Amino acid sequence: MRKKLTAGICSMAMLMTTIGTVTVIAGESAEDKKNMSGEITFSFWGIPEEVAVQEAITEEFNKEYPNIKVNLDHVSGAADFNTTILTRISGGTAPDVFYMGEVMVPIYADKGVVEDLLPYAEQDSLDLSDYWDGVLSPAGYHDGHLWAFAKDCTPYMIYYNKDMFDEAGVAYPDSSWDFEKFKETCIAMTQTDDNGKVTRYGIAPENGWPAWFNIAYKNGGKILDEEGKRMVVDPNTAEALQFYFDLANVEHCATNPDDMTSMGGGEIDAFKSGLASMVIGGRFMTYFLKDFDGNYGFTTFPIEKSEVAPLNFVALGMAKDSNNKEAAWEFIKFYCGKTGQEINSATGMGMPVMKSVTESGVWMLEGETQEQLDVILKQFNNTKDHPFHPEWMKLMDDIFARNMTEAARGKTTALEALENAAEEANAYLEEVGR
Amino acid sequence: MKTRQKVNPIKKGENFWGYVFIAPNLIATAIFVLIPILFSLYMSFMKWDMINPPEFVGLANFTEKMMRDEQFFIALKNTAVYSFISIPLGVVAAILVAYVLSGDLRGTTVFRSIIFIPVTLSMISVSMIWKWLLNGDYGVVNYFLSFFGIDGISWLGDERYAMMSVILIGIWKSLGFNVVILIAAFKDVPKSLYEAAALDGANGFQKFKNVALPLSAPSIFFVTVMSIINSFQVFDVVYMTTQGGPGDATRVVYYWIYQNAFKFFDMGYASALSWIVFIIIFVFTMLQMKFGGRNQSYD
Amino acid sequence: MIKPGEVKVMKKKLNAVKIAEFVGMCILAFIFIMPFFWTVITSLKAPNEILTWPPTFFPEKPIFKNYTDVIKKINIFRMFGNSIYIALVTTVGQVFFCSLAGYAFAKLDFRGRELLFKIYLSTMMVPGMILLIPRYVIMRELGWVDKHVSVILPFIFGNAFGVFLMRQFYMTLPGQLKEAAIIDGASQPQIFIRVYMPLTKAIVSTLFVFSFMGSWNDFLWPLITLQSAKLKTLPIGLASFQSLYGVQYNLLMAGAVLSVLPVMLAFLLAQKQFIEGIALSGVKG
Repeated sequence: MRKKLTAGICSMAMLMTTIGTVTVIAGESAEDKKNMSGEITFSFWGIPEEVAVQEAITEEFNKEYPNIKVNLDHVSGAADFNTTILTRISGGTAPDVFYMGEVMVPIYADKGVVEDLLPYAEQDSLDLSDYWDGVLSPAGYHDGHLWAFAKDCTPYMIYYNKDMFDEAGVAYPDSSWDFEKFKETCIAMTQTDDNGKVTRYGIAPENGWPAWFNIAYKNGGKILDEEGKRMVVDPNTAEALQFYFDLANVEHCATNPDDMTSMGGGEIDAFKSGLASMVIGGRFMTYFLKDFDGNYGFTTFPIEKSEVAPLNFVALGMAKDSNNKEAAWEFIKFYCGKTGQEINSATGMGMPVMKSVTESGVWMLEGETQEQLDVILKQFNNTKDHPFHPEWMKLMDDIFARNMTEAARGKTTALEALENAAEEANAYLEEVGR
Repeated sequence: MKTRQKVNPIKKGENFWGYVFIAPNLIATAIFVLIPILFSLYMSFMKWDMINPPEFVGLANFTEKMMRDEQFFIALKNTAVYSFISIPLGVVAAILVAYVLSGDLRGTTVFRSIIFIPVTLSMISVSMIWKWLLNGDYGVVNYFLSFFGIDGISWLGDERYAMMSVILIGIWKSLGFNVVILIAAFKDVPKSLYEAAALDGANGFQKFKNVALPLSAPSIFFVTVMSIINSFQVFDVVYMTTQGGPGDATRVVYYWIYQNAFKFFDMGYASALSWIVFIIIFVFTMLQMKFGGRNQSYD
Repeated sequence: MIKPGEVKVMKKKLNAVKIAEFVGMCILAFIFIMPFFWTVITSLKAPNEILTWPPTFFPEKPIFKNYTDVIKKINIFRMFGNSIYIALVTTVGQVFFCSLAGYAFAKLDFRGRELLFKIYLSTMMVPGMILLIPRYVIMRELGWVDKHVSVILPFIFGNAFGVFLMRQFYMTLPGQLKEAAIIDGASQPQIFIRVYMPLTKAIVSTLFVFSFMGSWNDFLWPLITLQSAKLKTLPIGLASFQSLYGVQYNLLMAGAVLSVLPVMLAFLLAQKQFIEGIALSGVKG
């Protein structure tokens, strides 16, 4: 707060004394920034291909800022990243810049771990209108903050095996489908052998919050109340989730959730091995389907009452304890700027966060069509935040997921699970005084 | 425990040298293990998010919070089930296998190496391999079973089999560890004692029971205590294969501690839970020491 | 006493037992090797051959591309070197200091021995996860963060596990050896090094393998303290093939095979010692 004020006073004073020579000053300060020197540590997770991306971005960055040394710290896979970073933050050695999964943004903001980037962006007159609202809003933009700067993002989509659809003579799904059509397609794509054993499922649905919230949103549902303070029992949410779970438990056209025990991976395996003809996932699927020997396409979730789609993203945060915040900011700005974005989206792991870059389509992989770009852009233009909350891990990762998994397994109804989850979650929120 | 003898010329210098010999180890243990452990005890009376300053809450973590924590009790129950099946099963299997392999059976070297393979694999590899072998749809285990007309059991995805499956994976992973230690113990039983027993008319089983087992008691004690410690702290294999499911079937305590610490940012409560787990393991170990360790010989 | 005829009957019975034991061991060996066999097979398969039904037990065309991919994608030689260096240094220290302390706990009568030993045992019972942060803070205070000493020094002086193992073993050795040596005028260090240590080959080689393995496979602690790419260890590199969304089985399995080789080598070298046991059957009992 005090810092912001001081910065404000300073810039005011500067403005007063330099009226008429603003352009010169601005030019100079931009030049100063290029000569800025310092050393920052940047911690990230990722598969080896992503390390190459970080190196490429850093190299480009150093062409513009030759005196800022960026120490790349590839922690490893994503699995133990939070534990590692949290231990380092707690131990007083936070990295200057680090990756944050979307759900971690409000948590770290609430704990006071990360620096608000909005004042930096404003100071540099960064054109934030060129960034998708779906990545700015969850970072606190509409409350006057920017707790982290998204570096790539993706809506969740449904991927389908074109060869299987051709073989079955079923039309490829497109974004005009609703729940009923979705169910029909799943049933049509399911095959059984002579003994009635299912040999191919219509879909291997993900049972985790990204898919659940997506399907709920498509039915006009919500998870938290308008202020985002309490969990609600929304009939649209219950209805959508029940529909989604029934695909496996009633229609038997979707894989059994208990069999897909691994986190996300099991569903992709089912799709790759031909056990399922559709699978749910974000842009990262294009990476995992690189070695898939078949043709696939993708489309939106079925749209029942609403078109809104939440974005999942990975963001760059700046540690409040950083000793080199100016250099860290320049790095973040560069990474999330045009050059950084163009390099970053080349792996097929995520899509650009900058509207102009997303729309230009430079990030698209060989063979991808304008039609596919349109499917994606349609969702970017119509986003709604996931129910982010500083207590996300307790509310969603534990309480909501634990209760809803029972409904997914057909042990209870989605409505009952939702009621239980809301009761437990709200009692917890009362207890911790939120 | 034996009573202290009067100063004995033969024991001269033992007090001094005893401390010297354990000193390097003791100092390192004090700095890198004991201090963190005491810190965790201190934290168990705090509310601490690991970032902001801790706040003293007295016994609240142990009382109100723990008593209302249903997940903890579910996890505790599952951990107990895991332990009470896997400890005896694992130890008995290890004793039998080690006994056989310490004899003059053909190919013991090969068998021993094979049984040791799982010990050398990392937890990630073990979990990946088994998750895959046990997969209900394209797992190799079901492929073998299909020859016997058993079809499509989802080993890790079915509440009835999940716990047993992770127990067996755990035993598979650790058997070689126990076997190697016990082989060393059985090998050290002097042949002359077996011969003497044979002369007294002891059969194979009696030799095993009356000669091999008592003389290897310290090693068996070691294997048992390590099994107690490891099974009450079981975590990675379970979570990389079933993630605690299906339902609550394989939720275990250690994971709940991890979640409270690093996911819910509640290190104070996680520390309190850890101390409860510590006390449980400690009690079982002491019981084992008291009743199972009777045959240990001090000289 | 046994008459010659009875001995013959016993021998026959023994053979039946032996055959049963052999068959049992074969079955067990199959169960134990099959998953590893499967790992190796998978590491030689092309990605599209991995998830097929029925499973193929021998790849149509074994490929080594997975191995070359793993080698190309991560800085495997550097990581391998770091892991070997850390594991060897730590292991040598651990074996020596655990022997020393284990011997003291088993054979020397010093004040507070039982209590200290119980405290040692107890340290293994506290879930390690909650010790990460205080231990990390200690590293920071010592200035060891992002240095190899952070993964060597805390472990090189031995751990409770090794001390416990060695103590249990020393307890089975006769005390008369010590008494005889003292009468011969040997000092306590001499007794340990000249009289007892030579008798522990089997268990020392066991501890060697366990220590090496523990250090070699250690993941979370090095992950937290090591930050520079040039310092990172092999398990950290291999874990990066496992992403949040999907697993590249073929690469992961190739990595697992590569990473298990040194440990197996260590085991095979130590095997010789296991077999020998201690060669002083006469002394004991």
